[in-house]
Amino acid sequence: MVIFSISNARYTYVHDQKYPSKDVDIHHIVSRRSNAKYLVYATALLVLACALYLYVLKGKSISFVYYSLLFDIFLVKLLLGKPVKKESVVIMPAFGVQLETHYVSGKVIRYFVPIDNILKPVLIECVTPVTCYWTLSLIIRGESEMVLVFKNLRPPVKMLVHVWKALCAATDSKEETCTHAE
Amino acid sequence: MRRHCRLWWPKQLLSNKESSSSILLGWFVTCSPSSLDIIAAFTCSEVLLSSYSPGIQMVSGMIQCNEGIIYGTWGSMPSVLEDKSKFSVLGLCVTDPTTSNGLMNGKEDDKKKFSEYGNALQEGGTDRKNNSRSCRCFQLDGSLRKSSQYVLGRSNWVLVMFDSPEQNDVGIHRLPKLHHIHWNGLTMSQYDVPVIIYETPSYGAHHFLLCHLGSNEQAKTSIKNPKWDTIILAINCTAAAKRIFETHLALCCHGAPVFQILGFDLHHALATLHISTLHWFISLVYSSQIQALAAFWRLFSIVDTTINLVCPLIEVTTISVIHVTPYTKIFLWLVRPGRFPSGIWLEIIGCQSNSTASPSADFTDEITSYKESLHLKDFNREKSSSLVSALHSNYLSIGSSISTVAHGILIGQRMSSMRSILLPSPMPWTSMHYKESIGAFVMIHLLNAL
Repeated sequence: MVIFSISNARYTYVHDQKYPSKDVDIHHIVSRRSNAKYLVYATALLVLACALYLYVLKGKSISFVYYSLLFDIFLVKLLLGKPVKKESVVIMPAFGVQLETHYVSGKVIRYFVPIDNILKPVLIECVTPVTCYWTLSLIIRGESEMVLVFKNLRPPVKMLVHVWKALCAATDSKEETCTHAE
Repeated sequence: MRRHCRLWWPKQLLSNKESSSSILLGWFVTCSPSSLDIIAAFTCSEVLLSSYSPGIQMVSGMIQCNEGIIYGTWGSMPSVLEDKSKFSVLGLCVTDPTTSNGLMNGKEDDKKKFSEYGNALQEGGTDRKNNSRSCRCFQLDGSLRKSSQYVLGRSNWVLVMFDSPEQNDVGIHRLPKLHHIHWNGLTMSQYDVPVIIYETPSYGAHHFLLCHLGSNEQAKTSIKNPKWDTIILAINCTAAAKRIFETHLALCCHGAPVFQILGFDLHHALATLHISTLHWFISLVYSSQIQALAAFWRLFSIVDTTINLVCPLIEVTTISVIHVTPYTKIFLWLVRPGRFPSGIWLEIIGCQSNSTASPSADFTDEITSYKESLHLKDFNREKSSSLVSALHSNYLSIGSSISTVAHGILIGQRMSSMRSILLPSPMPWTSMHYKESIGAFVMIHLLNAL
């Protein structure tokens, strides 16, 4: 049973609670690509139609159509190449946290972290020369790298906050913000 | 005092059709003061145990024989597991519906006794043995009273019942439920103990491995050993424990002659001889390959002086790669990926609600407000339920393995960590059987001959 959900143009956050929250707490980030999908397909069809028109009426070479087909495939692969359907965080306070990546093809990749190995969930603001975004990571005992909770999708911070709060509750971590004064 | 308790249950026991009560054997893992893991390995029927000892009539003799079997099984476990937890009798399994009904009726009295024992323990004048004897479950059924001799006098033991398919919500036929725990003189009834069902690991087929990412050496030395490693290690030893237990049972009860033990030594010697011959043969093949490769490269160096400059480097690199590559294990990995797990994951089967829980309302409307969801969380917290899940393994595919190795190389990991992806951990239960070694070796030899 869906309890709480937030949506924007690209992602939908769903807080699933078909089990008691003290046993299992499931959070989903679902990728919304319906509008973009139609736009990409329409663009590809338009390019193919132009190529066919030039070949049939203007006497262009057949290779032009082949190049257009290759361009269409490249365009679809580039814009719709990410096959991830949704990413889920399954929080089991008695066991640990399971990060799941669900692909469109039905394949699921799961990574389980025992609850005792999680030192702290952290929300980090990543700044690049062209953009700025937030990521949610887990600091794991004995590991040199932090584990990204959402590896493929990049949900906004207003969705990440709910997952972060649930992870802090499960791992008994304080919900504190760290500001670098340097 | 509330302890975080989990019950690990083998899948084979779900389809067990025993009608009498059984003795539960396995491990208690308590690596932290606030948690208790009950890892059930297998059950031993009380009737079976009695039939194995027709000559021993006295109760003390039977208990002594049982202790000897337990001690023998414990002494044969890996030392890493022995330091954390010892193989022992965990408790009793009750399968009789009438007994279950009686125990259900007596649950309120157990709550009162729990508070009484708590008060008595605070005063400090309680005898542990009297607490165990005064437990109500011994007074209910004749067969249960007979089986209680195996747990009488122990400070730690549990009573496990089975729900019928009509009672549990998950749909599993014989779902175990922890009725109560005797722990250091205390009797505790806990209703929301999660149950994890696992497939018993078997040699050469599959086992469980807790996945650790590329942890560096400095962090590894300062790691406090997490208790999940002990749990996974105990689960991997369940098949071995059962086999050793049955062997010791036969030896102890039938008074087997000494040649059976000599026969185990001979089998071990034969296995060692096979593996030694296999290693010698593989070394011979490697030597031949290296000699042929060296001659091949020397021929090229005569032809071209430019190649002669690069030849030693390529030769050393190629020979090193040939030496490092574990062909047998790669072949086994491709044929049987279950032998090389890369992590664990839990499949949520359902939530088993207990009979004492109040019936909850049916929420048909989709709630969109966050405050209402918080209220629902508070309501759900009052409900008593336990999580039922199944333990599974992750397996690396070729693409995942290559990407993991590439990622490790790019971030500057050591080469030794690449071995850990392809090679299993050197644990006794994953030792390769000599038949599989010979079969894999013959297959690889044929492939090389083509």
